[in-house]
Amino acid sequence: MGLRGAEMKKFFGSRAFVLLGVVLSLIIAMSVLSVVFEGTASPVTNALGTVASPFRAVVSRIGGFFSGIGSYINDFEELKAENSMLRVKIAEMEEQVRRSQQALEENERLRELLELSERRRDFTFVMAEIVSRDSSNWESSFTIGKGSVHGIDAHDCVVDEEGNLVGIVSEVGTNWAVVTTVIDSSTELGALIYRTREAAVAEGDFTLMGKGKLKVTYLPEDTVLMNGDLILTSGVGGVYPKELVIGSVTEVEIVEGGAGSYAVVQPEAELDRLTQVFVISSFDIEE
Amino acid sequence: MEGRRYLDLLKWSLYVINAVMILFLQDYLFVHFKIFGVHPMFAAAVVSSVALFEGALPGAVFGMFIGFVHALPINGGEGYFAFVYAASGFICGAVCEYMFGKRLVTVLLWSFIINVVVTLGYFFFYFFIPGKAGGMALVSTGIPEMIYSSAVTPIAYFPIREVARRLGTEEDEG
Repeated sequence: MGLRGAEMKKFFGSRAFVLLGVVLSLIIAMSVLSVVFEGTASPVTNALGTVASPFRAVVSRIGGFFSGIGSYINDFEELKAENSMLRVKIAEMEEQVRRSQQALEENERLRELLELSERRRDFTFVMAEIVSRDSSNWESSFTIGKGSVHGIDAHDCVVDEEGNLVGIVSEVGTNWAVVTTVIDSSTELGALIYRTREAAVAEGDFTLMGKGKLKVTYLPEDTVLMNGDLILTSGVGGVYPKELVIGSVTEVEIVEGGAGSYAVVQPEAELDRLTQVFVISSFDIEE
Repeated sequence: MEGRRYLDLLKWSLYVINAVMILFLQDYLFVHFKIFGVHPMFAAAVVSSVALFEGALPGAVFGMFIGFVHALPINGGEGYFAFVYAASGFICGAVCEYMFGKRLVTVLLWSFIINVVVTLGYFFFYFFIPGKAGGMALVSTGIPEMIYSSAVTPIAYFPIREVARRLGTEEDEG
């Protein structure tokens, strides 16, 4: 057994191999272009995405059927157990409702305070459907079926129907755009603790991304956070509008080495269940 | 001659349909079956299976196509995946033309090698160097992804083997 030298020489000199080399060089050039065209899609990527966009919507609908099969198989036994547990919980919660009327009224006032369409008349929304989700194990993003022709630009903020922060537009094509969610490891934005009005930084963390969460860091030294504390956007930098709900605190962890602490936040938007989002294409920057 | 061209066209059409269906199921069905927080990626299994039966150049071209299809639902990396899977298809096809039998074990081995190369490269260029994730991310996500993706290779291999056997020009040894 051994390599046949003459055949190998002929092979490497063949037209097909040369053609392959040329095509590979073009691919490398495309990769360089994708770095140069930061934010906006490169011409080749835009062309591919524009052609593929209508098919993505169709494929997404077909894929919904298979996705449903997977969910059904996975969730059936869980749902049965959860149903039994929920019946018991409902009885307990009915008792709690009767006892916590005051807390419910305060909750209602908070919801009214955060009611997006009444409070923020300066927002211009573009509604878009999610046509595909990033299948990578390393990122959290999805593609929507609208792009630059609909008024969407890179770095536009994205929210759900209740005004909860979903993410930011990271790449725009003619009729499609990629949205990087708040739990993605590349996310970083100014945050505000609603109860104490203290500033912090909300950022994605790779380990927490797998659990569907993000963290809040650079907390003031004397900050005391509680489970359920609302975290809002601070509006610093002008990229994200002010006072959009990011999520609520679920736990507080100490940084390794004891140098401060950070809060783990559960996003308010249900990222896995979203089918439609709203892109804030313009807003007034408040000082 | 005409009959042979028709069979080749049918064979490659079936390879493409098979690959697109598997990648489609990867994105819409297998995302719900996670182990250690990751779901399997089938691109390496598809590329190594086709390259094993068809050789270096066809493997490279098919790998390039799979790279583009694989990158469609992923944010970024089109050029990277197209290049790496093209190169992987070429090397796998070239080596297997002179060594290794056309067997499931061979495809499992090459699928694992390609998964390691793709995952390590993607991690270093898109996460470790830009500082988005540290070495522990490789342990928590990269290694399970490599192993899980390699373990599901038979799902891609057997349909491709049947197409190659029925429509190919030589019998496989498996």
